[in-house]
Amino acid sequence: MKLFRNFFVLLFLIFFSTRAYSLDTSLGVYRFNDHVQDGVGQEDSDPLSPMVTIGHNMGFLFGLEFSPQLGFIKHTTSVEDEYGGDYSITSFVLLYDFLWSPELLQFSGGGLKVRFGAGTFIKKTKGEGGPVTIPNGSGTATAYRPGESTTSYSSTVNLGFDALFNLVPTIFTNSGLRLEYFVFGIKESEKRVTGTNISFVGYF
Amino acid sequence: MKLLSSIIISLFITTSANAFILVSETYKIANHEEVIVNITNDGCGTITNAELLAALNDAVEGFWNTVSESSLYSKVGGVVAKTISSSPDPGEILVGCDNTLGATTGGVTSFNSTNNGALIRMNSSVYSSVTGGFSSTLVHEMGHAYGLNHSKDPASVMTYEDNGWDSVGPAYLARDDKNGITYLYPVDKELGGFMGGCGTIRLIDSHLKSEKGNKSSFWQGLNFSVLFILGFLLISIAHFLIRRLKNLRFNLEF
Repeated sequence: MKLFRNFFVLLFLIFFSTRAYSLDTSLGVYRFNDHVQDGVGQEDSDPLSPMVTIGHNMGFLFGLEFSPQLGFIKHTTSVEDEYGGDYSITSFVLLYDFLWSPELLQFSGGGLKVRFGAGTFIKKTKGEGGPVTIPNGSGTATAYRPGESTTSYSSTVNLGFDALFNLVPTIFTNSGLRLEYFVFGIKESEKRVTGTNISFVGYF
Repeated sequence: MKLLSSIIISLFITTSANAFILVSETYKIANHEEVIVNITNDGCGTITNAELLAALNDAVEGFWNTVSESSLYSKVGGVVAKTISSSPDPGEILVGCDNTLGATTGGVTSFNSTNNGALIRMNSSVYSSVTGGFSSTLVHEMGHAYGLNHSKDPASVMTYEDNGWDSVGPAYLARDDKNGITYLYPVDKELGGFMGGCGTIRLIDSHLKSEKGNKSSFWQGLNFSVLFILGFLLISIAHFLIRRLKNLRFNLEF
């Protein structure tokens, strides 16, 4: 229910603003920049996952635009494990960003918009469930695959930019590249991690 | 265009993914937001209590407390008046040493399914000092105490396979371990920060359900998302009015 409520809130912000300027959409990749190890104990990087967003940009105070975004990430997992079976991890992303367009960085047909704000990542993990026999000591034991779906909420602080070059003028009023960093666990040094989104972005 | 089309296609493909597995369908450590890790007072062979506590501290702070999207948090307590025959308290991971486990077993974890505590017995006949191998086993056994079972992923600290790090100790948890801990102990506080996350403010849905009709529950139920919309609308209206007033003054002057 809370997921639907949050979507409703964001859709409300996106589509029912009285001061709407433009819609936008982005398609790209997301990486969680966490410290994880590989099979030989060296630091490994999390895999790239596809990410899409839709959003709206509307006038706000102090020359800023309010740019709420609704996103979806299908997390790529690459572990080969016959014990665990299939599972899927997806995230719904709610971003409450503001856009600042410094005059110095605007040019004919494009410019740079600095993007900052806060957000929530709603990560759902679901496995196929059921028992599985695994090695244990000199014998075997029964273990259990994750069955029920669980949802984890993470707050983020966001910082990035939209660099617009009007790449596809036939479809979009403006388009370009979006780079955005998300800082997770801003208050907890042990759990602080960043995520990165690099996307093609188009404004309608 | 190739990159774009691969991204679009990948959105519709079910990735063949494999998982962490669990020790039980129901077991989770109790009080997972503040698990206490203690050691028994019956000694650990040639390893001192101070060395064992330091190793536990490394395992907790360097590994299991680092899962960003999980609410699991543990802290090392100290030496308690218990032995490896004692039962752990609810939400306690009790760590001791045992020299009767056999030559090929590094450690054993058992669970108290009634109070959801765990007992870890490290094999003091295998480990005479805190080595990389001891650290690997300790981090592995703590994974069991939190509810994870063996993984086939060689990167996982829960692995039962050959890997390149066992004798020197793991560098980090693997992605599979972190996914498992996030699955078992998600952050389910609804409204801390912006619509979820940090857990400083709890949504009051339960109050709304249990105190229906109570006038104050309405205000308790006004969660942050609603306040955010109201605040945004108020600011927008104020901005609109200010602009109208400025235009009005401008027209009057001319």
